[in-house]
Amino acid sequence: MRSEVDVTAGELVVRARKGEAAAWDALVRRYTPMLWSVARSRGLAGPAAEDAVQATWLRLVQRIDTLWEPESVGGWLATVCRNECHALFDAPFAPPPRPPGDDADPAPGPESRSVDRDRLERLAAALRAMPERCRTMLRMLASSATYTEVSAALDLPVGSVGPIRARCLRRLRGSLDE
Amino acid sequence: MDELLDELRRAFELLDPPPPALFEAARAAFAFRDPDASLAELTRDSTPAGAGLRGTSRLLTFTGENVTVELQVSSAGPVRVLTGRLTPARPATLCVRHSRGETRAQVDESGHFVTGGIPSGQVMLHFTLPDATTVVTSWSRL
Repeated sequence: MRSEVDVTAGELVVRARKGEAAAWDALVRRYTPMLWSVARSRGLAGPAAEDAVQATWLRLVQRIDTLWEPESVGGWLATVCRNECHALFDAPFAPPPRPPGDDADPAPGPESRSVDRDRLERLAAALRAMPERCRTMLRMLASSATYTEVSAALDLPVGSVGPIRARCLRRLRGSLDE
Repeated sequence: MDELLDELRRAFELLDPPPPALFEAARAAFAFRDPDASLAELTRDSTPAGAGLRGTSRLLTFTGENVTVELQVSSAGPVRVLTGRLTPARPATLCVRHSRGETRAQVDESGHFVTGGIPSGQVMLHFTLPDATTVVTSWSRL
């Protein structure tokens, strides 16, 4: 039996079109972390970020049958999520966005004993201090996004993702060494 | 993967993971799938001048193949009152889908409908026409 990561996104879309809930669940598991990265990097607080991601999935439910390129569903989702974040910022009477991550206050999990939590917090703080483009790109790539998905979320030519990634990583290393 | 990116992945998994409820909500969205429905897309969204004296009011228009849905949204605290018209006019059953479930209403022969108590957030209108075909609007944040 193939593991879930071996199944292509296009195949999952085709199976979900036939009504297979397991295929939809697999899409949700595969892409929700990336969409969350996009929404949080854009500076949306927790509930607004959840709203943007959920709106993105609701759009896919309605359009899954008419997607032109099922294989590119990740890029499609990233683009829709970017627009949803944008709409939330522009919504009338929207609360002002808060800096990303300022309401992150999870209880330390069992994992925190086995990793250097201080180091991870410093790393996350350094990323938050970076320009939005670097922040979104690195956080997306850390969530296993492809260059195509990053280019869709940031509205950049796909060819520029590699060079910008290298610059952003260099910059992040620099600020950690300070 | 770059070592630093791998560290970043661990950092955000620990410090700011997607909430489990988000996965649940996204999974549940599949239940709204209705491949046979005709989709009416949002084509106009405006807040008329002078609105907001007694709550805010928004006018939305959804356009699909041979169908238009005009919707006026009034705020009454955290809930919304929807007043609208389906064109061409015909009676229909309306099911408003929102974050807390569904609210049902009837569309009269002139195509008009009204329904209240809709929670703010993502909302979609699902019409069942007399010939049993269905029309849905795109999800909108009301």
